[in-house]
This record gives sequence, structure tokens and C-alpha cells, in this order.
Amino acid sequence: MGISREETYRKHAAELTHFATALVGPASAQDVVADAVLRAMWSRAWPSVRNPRAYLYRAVLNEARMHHRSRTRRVARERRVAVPDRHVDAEARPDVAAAVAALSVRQRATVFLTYWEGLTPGEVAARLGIGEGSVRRHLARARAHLREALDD
Amino acid sequence: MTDPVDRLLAFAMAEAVRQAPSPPPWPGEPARRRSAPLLAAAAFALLVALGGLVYLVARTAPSPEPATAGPAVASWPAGDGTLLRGDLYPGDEPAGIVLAGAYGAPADELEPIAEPLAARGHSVLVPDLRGEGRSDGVVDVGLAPGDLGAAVAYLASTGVDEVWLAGYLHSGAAAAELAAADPGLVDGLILLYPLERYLGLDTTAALAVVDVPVLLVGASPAVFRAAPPGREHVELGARDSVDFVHAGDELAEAIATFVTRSP
Repeated sequence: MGISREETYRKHAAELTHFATALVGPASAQDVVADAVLRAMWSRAWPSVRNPRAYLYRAVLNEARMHHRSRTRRVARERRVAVPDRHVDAEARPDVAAAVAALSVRQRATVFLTYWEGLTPGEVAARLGIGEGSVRRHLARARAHLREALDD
Repeated sequence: MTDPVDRLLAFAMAEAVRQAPSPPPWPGEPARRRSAPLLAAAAFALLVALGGLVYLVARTAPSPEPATAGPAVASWPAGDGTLLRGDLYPGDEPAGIVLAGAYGAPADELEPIAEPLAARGHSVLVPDLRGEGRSDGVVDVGLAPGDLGAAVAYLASTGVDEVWLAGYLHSGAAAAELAAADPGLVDGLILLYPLERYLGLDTTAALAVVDVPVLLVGASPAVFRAAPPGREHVELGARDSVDFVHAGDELAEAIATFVTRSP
């Protein structure tokens, strides 16, 4: 290992935070990144990880899903109206904001890597460690959802 | 990117990045854990206490509460408009499962598998096959893969994030054919005692071109070899293809583990 954990973290911190913001919103993004990095870099698998960048993206996605689930449970328990973190300028396009907020975490991950990082489905699949078919499916469902939501 | 949906998604992601906070500081090393023996002793004490509690509750509880509400009858159109029906167990896990039985096995025969899956939070759709049970039409094996596709589309429309397709005996073959013909449709396959061949259906040939995760239960070696790398295989003790539903809870556990493994 020529490069320390801290150096690896500093190299990818900004992009991981962008990714986390797309998944859980700006308010929770830092927490999700910090928890994911702790979990990933001090796991037993870390020393043998070949592609640390992809591994960290997956860790952030996992952490975001856990965050999303616990938040869902908490909201249900408290019987509050869910006010998800807004991912886009809510005043400008409230319909788009709501439609994107309603996507699943994995769908948002796929959308982010496709539309922001400009990756192909094959590259998204490699980054997230899922099948290319799953990527295409998440994308298709996300687009269908958005189209349906905006047609109403 | 001429489609407005593409433009909006690109815009939404750019907005997310614009709103992103600065990265958190380097989190450093996790806090040191307590020594392992102490932790083990604490875990053991907790287990003993929990065991006692479970025993007490089991003794005093008049009857176990049903884990889930029963299924609702659902209906959806097949590709040719024929109305198909089945049992829908609602759940809030992201992974939903279509659980298709064999000819002559109506939906309630798979209840011992569907129920414990639903108790684990999964939405489960158990279709009556075309021409059987509550479904319209007449039996047609050639339409079986497409009919499973209609069930998958229906379950996807109920709001689940992923759809996994489980098929028993010839429905295992039909499920493999569907996944091969429509690579983007399902998130993974669970084949329960799949027939290698059934009339026009060919499980081994279909599996050779499938690229989704596959869980096999009681499959033949030929089917196992044909499945894509990463396939998993479960044996349910001495259970055979008829008796296996009585191992429903064990099977549900294996399926739930398979479909929820992240990411």
C-alpha cells in the first residue's frame, strides 16, 4: 500500500459528497460519507480492495440506503408528514423536486452517475458492483417515473 | 439529450451538486472497541437474558399474532388482454418477488413460502397461471414466459424498487426464458426445482444468456452448470420437489437473504 487511507479519502472526498448529496440530500450527505468511509476503510476487506474508488461509492450507496430506511421507519413511527431533503431548487420546479425525491436510492445513484458523471450503463455497473441489466432497469424506471409524475 | 426527462434529470443532478456541502473532515480511525472476551461475555449474557424472555413470552402468550395481513386478490392483463389473477401480499421492503407455481398448483399451495417471505417485509405476488385457479384463458405453455412478464410488470407497478422472479418446476423454465428474452426486466431469478426442458421451454439454453443473479433450489447439475457465474444453490435437506413447501420458512430465509444482499 503506497497510499494511506487518509490520502485516498482526500482524493475522493469531494466526489463522494456530491454523490451522497444526490442520494440523501445536502443535510445528511456529510454524515453518510463519514459513516461510509469509516465502515469501508476499516473493514477487513479494505487492504485487498483493488478499486478503492468503486468500493467507496458502493459504501456510500449502502450507507445511503440504510439512512433512507431508518428515516422511513422513523417518519412512519412519528406519523409525521415526510419532508425529504430537496435535491433541486424547490421553488423553481417543485414538481421535479418531488419526482426526484420519490425515486429509490438506487435509482438516484444510477441517475447521478449517468447524468452527472456521464458514465455508460456498463461503467455505472462496474462502479456500483451491480449488473448492467439492473442499471438499465433502474434508469428506465426512474425516467418512466419522472415522465409519469410530470404528465399529471 | 433531446428528451425533456433527460434534461430534467441532468438539471436535478447538477442542482444536487450545487447544493452539496463541503466534504466532511477525515473521519480517522474508529473508536477502539472493548476487548473481545469482555464483548463475548456481554453478548452471552444478553443471549441468555433474551432466551429467558422469549421463553416466558412464549409460555404466557395465548396465541402467536399473525405476522402479516393475509393476501389480497390482485388482477392484471396479460399481453393478449386475458385477465390473470393472483394473491398479492403487500410489503415495504424494496425487493418484491413474483412467486409462480406449477400447473395444477394453485396460488394457495405456495402460501407456506409466500407467507414467511411477506413476514420478512417483501411484497409477494403469487399468480394463478393462465387457465388455472382464478385466472381467465386456457393453459398455454408457449405464453407462460410472457404471462410471467405481465405479473412482473404488475408487481413493479405497485411501487416496489426491484422485482425478483421465482418459478417452480415448469415456471422455473418459463422464468429463465423470460429473463433471457428480456434482459432488463427482472433483478434476479430464483428457480425452484426447475425442469430442464418442458415442451418449448429450455432452461439450460436460456440460463446460458442470462446476466442477473440466480438462486437455484433443487436444480439438476446441468441447470447449475448453465447458470451464470455467481449463481447460488440451496439444498433443503431431504425435501423433494413436492414436499419442499413444508420447508417454507427455511426457503423464505434463503430467498430473503439472496434478494436483500447489498448493494
